[in-house]
Amino acid sequence: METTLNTCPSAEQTIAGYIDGSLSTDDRIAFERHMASCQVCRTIEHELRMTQSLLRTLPAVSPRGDFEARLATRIADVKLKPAPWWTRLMMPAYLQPARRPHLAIPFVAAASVVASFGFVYVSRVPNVKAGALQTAAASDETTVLSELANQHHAASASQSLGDTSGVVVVASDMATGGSW
Amino acid sequence: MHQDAELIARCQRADASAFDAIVARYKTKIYHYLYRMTGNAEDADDLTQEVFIRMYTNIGKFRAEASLSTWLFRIAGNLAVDRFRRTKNSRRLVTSLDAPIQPGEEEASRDVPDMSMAPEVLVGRRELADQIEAALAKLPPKLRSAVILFDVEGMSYDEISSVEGIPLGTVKSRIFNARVALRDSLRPYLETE
Repeated sequence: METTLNTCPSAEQTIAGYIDGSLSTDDRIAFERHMASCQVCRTIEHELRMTQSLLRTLPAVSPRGDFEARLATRIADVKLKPAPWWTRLMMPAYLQPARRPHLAIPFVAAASVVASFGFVYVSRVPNVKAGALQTAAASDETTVLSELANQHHAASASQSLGDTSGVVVVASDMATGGSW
Repeated sequence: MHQDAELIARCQRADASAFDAIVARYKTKIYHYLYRMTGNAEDADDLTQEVFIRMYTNIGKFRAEASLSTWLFRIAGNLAVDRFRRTKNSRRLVTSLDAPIQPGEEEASRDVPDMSMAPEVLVGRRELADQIEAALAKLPPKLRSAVILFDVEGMSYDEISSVEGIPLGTVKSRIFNARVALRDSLRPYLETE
């Protein structure tokens, strides 16, 4: 007869508990009384217990004899392979890779960040200074030219008419941007 | 258990002999479990080594909230399920016994002997073991793990609950469902009442 659990809805937990010995004494006695009159539960209980027995006939197996030696080789490989620096910082000292952690990495990373900000700052500052220098240079040049113009004007005032060798553009023309 | 705690403490103090002692103590149990989970020696060996490598690299984080045994079996179970997922289409791990034979495949390699044969006529325990392993391989990994831990490794419901991270009722249910499925696969080998 095909025995299914559907034929006895209460069977699952009770039979499992009975086979595994986890039922209370009262429940175990009650179930044994039930089985005495229930062929379905009796058959299921027997089949599942036999299944469990079959599983326990599986032969023991063991890893190969050189298991430890191969494991040691693989662990050595793991030790030589550097872990990400952030994981190494949290790793106990004895688990650190055989090669000393490359402590330069975080410093290089930090330096890169600082350098990036520094570059932005410095690249902006020269523009300001260059502008100031250009202004100062222009101012100095104006002063010098004005002085030269004044000197030349004073000198040319004593020259005779018709002599144009001393003609220069006066400061007022320079201020208006006139061409000369 | 007390000895495990001492070994872990020594291991965390970089005592290499403590690590060796843990390996010596658990390698066969873990290998046995993984052999039943994967169904072959090569994967079982590789994964067992991986379990101890994970233990080695994470021993500093281990806290005594779980037993060492629970921790190792949990790592092993996760690795087995992960391997199972990654090789989902691999014939070796999950080939259905009902799948059609591919050209060039040796029929005898995964053919199930005449299921009408009674256990006493099987040529030996190895052959019976092959049938049990084939039946286990047909189970979903979660059911397989639960029934192996209970019926093969002899763990308690509570221990399996910790290893698998599931409620006690789920443990019982998985074991029961696994046994029912195994019973159906192995019915010809069950002695009649």
